[in-house]
Amino acid sequence: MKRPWLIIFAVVFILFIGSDLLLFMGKADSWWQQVPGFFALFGLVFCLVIVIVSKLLGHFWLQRKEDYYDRNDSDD
Amino acid sequence: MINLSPAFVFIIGAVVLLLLPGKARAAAFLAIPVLAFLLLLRTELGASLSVPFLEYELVIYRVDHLSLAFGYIFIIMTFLGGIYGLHLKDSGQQVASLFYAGGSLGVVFAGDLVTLFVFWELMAVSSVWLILARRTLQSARAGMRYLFVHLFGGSVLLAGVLWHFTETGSIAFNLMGGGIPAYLILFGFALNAAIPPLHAWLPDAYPEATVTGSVFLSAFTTKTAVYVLARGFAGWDILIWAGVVMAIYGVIFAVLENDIRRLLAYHIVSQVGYMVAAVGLGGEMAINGATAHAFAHILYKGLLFMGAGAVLYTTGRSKLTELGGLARAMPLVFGLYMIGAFSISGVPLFSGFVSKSIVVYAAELRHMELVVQLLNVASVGTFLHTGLKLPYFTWFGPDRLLKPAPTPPGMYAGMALTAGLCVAIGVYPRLLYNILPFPISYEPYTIPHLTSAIQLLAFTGLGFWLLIKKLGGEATITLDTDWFYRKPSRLAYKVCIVSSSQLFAAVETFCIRLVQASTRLSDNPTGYLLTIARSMGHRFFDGKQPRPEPAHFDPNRYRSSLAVLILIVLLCSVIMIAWNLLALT
Repeated sequence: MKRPWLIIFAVVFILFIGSDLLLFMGKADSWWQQVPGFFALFGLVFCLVIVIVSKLLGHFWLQRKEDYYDRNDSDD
Repeated sequence: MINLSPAFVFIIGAVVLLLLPGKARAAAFLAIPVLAFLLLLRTELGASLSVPFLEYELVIYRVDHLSLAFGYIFIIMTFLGGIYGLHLKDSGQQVASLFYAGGSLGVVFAGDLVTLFVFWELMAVSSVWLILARRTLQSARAGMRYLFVHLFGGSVLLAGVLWHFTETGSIAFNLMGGGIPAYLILFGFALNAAIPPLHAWLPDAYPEATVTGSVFLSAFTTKTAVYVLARGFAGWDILIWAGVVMAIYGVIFAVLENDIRRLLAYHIVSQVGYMVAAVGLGGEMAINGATAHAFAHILYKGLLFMGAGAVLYTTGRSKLTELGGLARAMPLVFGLYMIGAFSISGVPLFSGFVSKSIVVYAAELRHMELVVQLLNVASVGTFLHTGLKLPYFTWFGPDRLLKPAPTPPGMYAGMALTAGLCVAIGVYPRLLYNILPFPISYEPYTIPHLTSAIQLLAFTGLGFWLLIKKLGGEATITLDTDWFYRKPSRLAYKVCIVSSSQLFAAVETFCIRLVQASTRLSDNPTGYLLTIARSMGHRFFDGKQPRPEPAHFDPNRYRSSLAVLILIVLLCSVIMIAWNLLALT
């Protein structure tokens, strides 16, 4: 099941690179327009980065049991 | 020409609503925003209304392009929320919503800081009702925290206003110069805009509100804050970075959330970040961007909360770990939610694509590349969670075999109308452009912009698909800056309430013992002292032993008996007799 999807995304990626090359060849306004497929890579990389960074933050520091704030209610 | 602020239409309407019978109330609720909207359409630009108060002029109505844009959207959203809440029988929520919307409109049209402050507090006090009205223990506690945080923010704002007045002699609300009073006012505004670390009230309280309440909450408080920031602090550089931090912060925390409405609440923080950054950038394009994004955001975030609220209303559940497989049971809610999700994610042809692009374009104009790319990162996270994770694990994912109750038709109607507006703005941006504060010539639908947006979204989708096993909800809560007042509150409770009541109890016990001891002492002084001496002796020789109860005073204990008296009398008589006998001889 995984393979066809990977192939589809690979093809789409190549198409994006092609369209970027056509669009920005020699008339890029900013440095990221000179990298073909920049936003595809950007989306993928930062999707992974966001998830990994926040899961690390969560598991090592921020996540607590659901009754964390209520735990001492018995002695109220 | 009528020169009445729509805020008063809402406030008078709220009072009238209370007097109406239950069945007419929901319909009458809808008449109020319609009336206010008609009134606003008839108002001319530059209209104003001042009222003398003591020796000052209070400007309670100031109409310009900026206040009009926010006024329109607040009234529209009240109407849409009213349709969504047509099934409501709770007059408290309806009246509170109207007061809340009235307060927001009052802030938006306020021309001076005193009027602004009064309506600001009206918002805080009326909105808390929408949280308390859920009538659970959690909502009661979250509501009280919400109220206290906002009253604190309001007090700082008031301090700033008073200080500002003593320094400048003016209460007019315009662009702030600087100095401590301006920073105090900024603090008050930043708290309502949910700028970290002052944001924790938002994800704490909004998910605990009622289903309809959270739709209203998501619209007003943060967006009035964006308005007042745009009015008073446009071009303050500190806000650019505050906004960028917000945009990323909300996204990072949304990853960890299990409650769907809390996840959406963190995305409010993230989206308001775009607006705050735009306000910080200043300039016509950026202020247009902030206004446009606020306008679009109120609609699509309202729609998202309506969708999540419909799930909560029909299933009684709001946690990703307890939801799943609802698509077959509620396909229409899913479809309408996705329109909101596409809008917030900036998918072309939906409203967010237009409004978010204006903000990012304003940053490009200033050549702030880092800001541009960090906002793009936030965009990735937004699509990942609101557009993919939340809907996947709610309507697809593991099937929990839920049997949702039927969704009220009013909910469908409210969602459909809101969704229609989201698409309309996306397809025909002129609708939005016409009400922006400054003339704008920005075209979002260019080929480079479309390809970059599609690339970004498509490959965020790939990332989601790769990580899908890791992204399911976890049954946890996440610590946020509310820890700093929630945990120590327990300590403060211990120090101020528990320990003082313990001290009181200790003093009470001591006094009772003292009284007991003194009664015993006066009852039987020797007996008592003897018992103490004896027990001290025992303690000295035999270790600690319970002190024996001293015997009650027995008046006969140390009294000579009658026999002794008789004996003495007898003895005396014997002596007397013997003596007399001696005398005779």
